[in-house]
Amino acid sequence: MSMTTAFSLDPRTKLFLVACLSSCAVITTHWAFLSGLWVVSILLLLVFGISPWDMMKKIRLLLYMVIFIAMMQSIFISAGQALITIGNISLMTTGGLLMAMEFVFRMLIIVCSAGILSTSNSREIIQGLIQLKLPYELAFMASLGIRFIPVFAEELRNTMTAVQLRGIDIRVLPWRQKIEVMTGLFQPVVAGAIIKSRSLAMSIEMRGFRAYPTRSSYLLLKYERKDYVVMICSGLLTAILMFGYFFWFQA
Amino acid sequence: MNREIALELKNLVFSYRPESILIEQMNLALFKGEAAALVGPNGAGKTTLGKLMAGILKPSSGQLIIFGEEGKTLPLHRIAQRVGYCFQNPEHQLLAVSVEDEIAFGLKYRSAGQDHISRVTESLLKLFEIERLRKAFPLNLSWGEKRRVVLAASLALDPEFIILDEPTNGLDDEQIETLNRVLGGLHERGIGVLLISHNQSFVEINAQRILQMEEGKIVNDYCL
Repeated sequence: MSMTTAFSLDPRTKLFLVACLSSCAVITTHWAFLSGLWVVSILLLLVFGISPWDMMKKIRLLLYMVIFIAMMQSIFISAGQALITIGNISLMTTGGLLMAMEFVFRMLIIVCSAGILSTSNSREIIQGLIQLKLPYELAFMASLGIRFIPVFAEELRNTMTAVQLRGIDIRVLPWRQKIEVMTGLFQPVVAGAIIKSRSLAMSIEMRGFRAYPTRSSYLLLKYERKDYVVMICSGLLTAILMFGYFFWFQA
Repeated sequence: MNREIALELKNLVFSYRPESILIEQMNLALFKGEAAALVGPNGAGKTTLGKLMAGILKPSSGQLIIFGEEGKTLPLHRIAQRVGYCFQNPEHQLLAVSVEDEIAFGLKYRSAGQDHISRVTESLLKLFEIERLRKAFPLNLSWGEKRRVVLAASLALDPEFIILDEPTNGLDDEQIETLNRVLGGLHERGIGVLLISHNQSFVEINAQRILQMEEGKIVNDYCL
């Protein structure tokens, strides 16, 4: 499949592909199987023309968080052989480490799935969901949510700049004050979001949102042969993988 | 007259993306106590230049000197103690749940004494004629009121220089008159001001020096 072919797949096909990948990642619990699945998702990213390296760089903060959670999780699992101990307390065990690896691989697969979806724009994804019979209102809400993520990120950056413009270095404040400032900021940020959503709701109403029971759409998605091929192949492959997993790993 | 420089740009270059340079090789000095205005068409780079001078944006190359110190390496919170900045959109700078908390915000976390905070807050509430709004939630105020609150909050830090981006937007004639009075007061106290504005009459009243900007360059620099 060439890169452009993969890109031009129907968003519903991509959603199906992502559903297959994420289902496998969620259902399975063996690190070796999950690592293989991760390699498959990396290959899929390459087919869709996304550089896995660039993608990992973009989400490195999330990756740090995932690794941190995995390490914390591994501390509380006592199964297996102890690797690090303090007195009688096992801080890290082989069981905990394997669980941490599973968690990391699972998250990486889900992130790669999101990467596949990012090859379609949000409008196409929403139209795909509508044509999959998701109620328009829900699909529209999802699209607004996606649209406003960068807006909120920008607002958060502005808020942090505004704090610094008041001559405050939040890093050097004592913890009590740091928490006070952050919780104090939370209220205007949330209130601002509510005020914005109220204005948005009003402007949507003024444009006649839900004026008629059904909506027509300029963009209409149509399955092509390649979509059917990809869906059948990925469905079959998922079934085989699941069968293989339960046969080999769970037997 | 030997005037001291407050903010200085030396061969400053700035671009958001490497392929398109927005400000190219700019040399400019603003003096202590000076009231200058940056004028020009939309998209000329006025706000970007204002943000560079306030240290919010960092230059791609060249030097930004803020009161004798290299601005590139100074953290924003330290620059803000000497150079104030008011965004075009006041909502970006509202951080507290009441107008009086908003004005006191910066002082409170800079370990100012309670007496000092109260004194400064009261005088600014009075100066900007917003005493009746002291308990109001800042985001619920009108645009003009939000502007006055943000300006009052910036002045609470007692900056030596202040940059105001489109300060008359959303203000009625009476409120502009109040702003003119406040700016006159700042000038008397020796506080430098850079106004970024499209309002010609406002600029003529409040600025002695006009910097005309077009396509990222200062094309005209003259005194009124």
